[in-house]
Amino acid sequence: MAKILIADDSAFMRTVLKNILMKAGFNTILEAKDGLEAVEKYESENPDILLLDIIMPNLDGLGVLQKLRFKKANVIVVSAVGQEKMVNEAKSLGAIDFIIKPFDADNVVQAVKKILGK
Amino acid sequence: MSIYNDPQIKKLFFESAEKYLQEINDNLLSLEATPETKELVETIFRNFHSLKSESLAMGYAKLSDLCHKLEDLFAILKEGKQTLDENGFSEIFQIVDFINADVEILKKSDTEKETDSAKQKVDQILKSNLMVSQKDKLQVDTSNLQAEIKRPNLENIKVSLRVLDHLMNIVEELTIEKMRFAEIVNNKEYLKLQEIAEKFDFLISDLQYYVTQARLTPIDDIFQNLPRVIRDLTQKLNKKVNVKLDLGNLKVDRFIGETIYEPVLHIIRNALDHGIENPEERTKSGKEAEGSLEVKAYSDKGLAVIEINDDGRGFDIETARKRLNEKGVKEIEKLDDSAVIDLLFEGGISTASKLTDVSGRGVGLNIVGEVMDRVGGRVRVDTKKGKGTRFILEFPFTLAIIEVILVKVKKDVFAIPVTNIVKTLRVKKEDIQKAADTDVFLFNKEEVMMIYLTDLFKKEKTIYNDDLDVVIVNTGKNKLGFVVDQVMELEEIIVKPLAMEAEKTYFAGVTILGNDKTVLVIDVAKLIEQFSRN
Repeated sequence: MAKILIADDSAFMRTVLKNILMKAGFNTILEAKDGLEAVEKYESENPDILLLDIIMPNLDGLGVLQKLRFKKANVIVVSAVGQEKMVNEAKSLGAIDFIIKPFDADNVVQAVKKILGK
Repeated sequence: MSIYNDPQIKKLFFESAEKYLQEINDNLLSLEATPETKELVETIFRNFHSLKSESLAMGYAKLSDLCHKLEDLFAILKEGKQTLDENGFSEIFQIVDFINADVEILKKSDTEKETDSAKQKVDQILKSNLMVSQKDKLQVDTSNLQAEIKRPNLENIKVSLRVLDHLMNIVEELTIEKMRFAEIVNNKEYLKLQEIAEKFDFLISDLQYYVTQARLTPIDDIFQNLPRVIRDLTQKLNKKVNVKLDLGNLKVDRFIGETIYEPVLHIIRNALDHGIENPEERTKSGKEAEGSLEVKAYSDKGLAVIEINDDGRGFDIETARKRLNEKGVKEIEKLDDSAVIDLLFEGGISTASKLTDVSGRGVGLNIVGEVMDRVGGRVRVDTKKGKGTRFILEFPFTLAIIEVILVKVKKDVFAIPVTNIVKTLRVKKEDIQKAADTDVFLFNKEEVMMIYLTDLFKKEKTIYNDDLDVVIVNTGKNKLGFVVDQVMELEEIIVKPLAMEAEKTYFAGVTILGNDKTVLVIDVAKLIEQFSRN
């Protein structure tokens, strides 16, 4: 079963994402509430996918990507509209896919399944 | 169904939004005090950003738009080239108030309010390079200020897991006892009922204890909008005040905390308005231009204490004497200062020489005294002319649980606190004597006046032909004999404050019994005072 790490400082967003993923049958879900925790959990838990918010305290999403540059991480960036500049930067740092907030369940599940090759 | 229609997600959104708004408010206050703190700007920016994304997800596009604009504003501030001036802060505070109100409406009706005018305000701040000039200053809406001063109303409180675990254990034990009880009844082993009753007693008092614990709320939470209220007041009153707020980790019953909020605010308002002088006056009298106001909360000798200190001009005792005299208080010159202050807590007299729209006049300390009475607390004042004033509010942490004896008067049941009861007894008809126009009887060779509760509470004369059931009560040395129709059982009750003014003549509080019956608690001290005066 795929292990998914959600990194977002908003508890609301984490819960929404978690609910969507659990309904789609993904049961192993980890959460990080800022960039530092995301890096830490990524390194200790080695998840299959990282859903990554950009604007977070302590270390932002771009910082996380930088730290995970050589890990071959499967990162889906979850960003708000109007952050195209950052999205491009995220791409250059190795992010594979993007979900734009506000998203619905299908956006999230499709992006995850695409990476897992299902 | 979209995930955002899920009631649980909705609830989560509102909790989250309220948290962001409180954080924004607190961080704005800190930022205004220390404008150079980059982290604060960063956090406010992130808060607006999150609120924007979350409200958009919920489909609240207008709210999201407004938050987006504010996010942009703080993105500019983040660059560090510009700061907000005082008016800029005021504007943002008002917009945050507006969002707060908007969120409240969304919570209730799920319909969005127009946010255009608020958005225009943000644009205006942006256009004026965040330096809103004096002439552009938008009218400070005082109704807004009033709204801010409303009593807090906490819908949710945090309960520690430890307390919940205890409650859960008690429920489990009660369930077991209930099964044992059914078994005993089934087997007709009635002699064992006593044992069960004792166990129930024990569990219920435990339950009472932990429920009381669960209601304890940090005073910090109840007073959370106090910093903001103080900020708005000082600005409105044009005072320079260094405010120190140290509420520690004092926890009190939610109801008590909410009740106490108003008098605390009243005292603070007075201190800022009338106590602390304006900068010019202070400098003239050799004080620092900036006044100081300190609010402290702590516990002392089993009571909760809130202390409010200011270094203003102190009470104007002379004016108070004059006003009291005008109001008909005689021989006022014979009273010492502290007795005069005591009188201020009783009557509607203010010493303020000027009427202002913040504190008004004539609304005096009596409100403070009244509310403290209601929660079983008291207030002390220590004031020095020209030096300042210290208010000390002392009150119980929790609502009082007391032991009472229930008595029947006609069809109604009343409660008499056990601490006031000397003895319950039956008085023979022939032992009753007449003294003046009242009945008395001898108890331990002492004459005790009899008060027929039917006459007093029901205003109807009852003729008793048999022996009488009497409850002898006392405060100090004074005794009264309450004549009742029946002495019932001993009970532990939670006393709640009375809502109706008229009831306060005879009663100290009210309680609700298990059968949903409301029972008034007799104020023995007050009755004894009334009858010993006559």
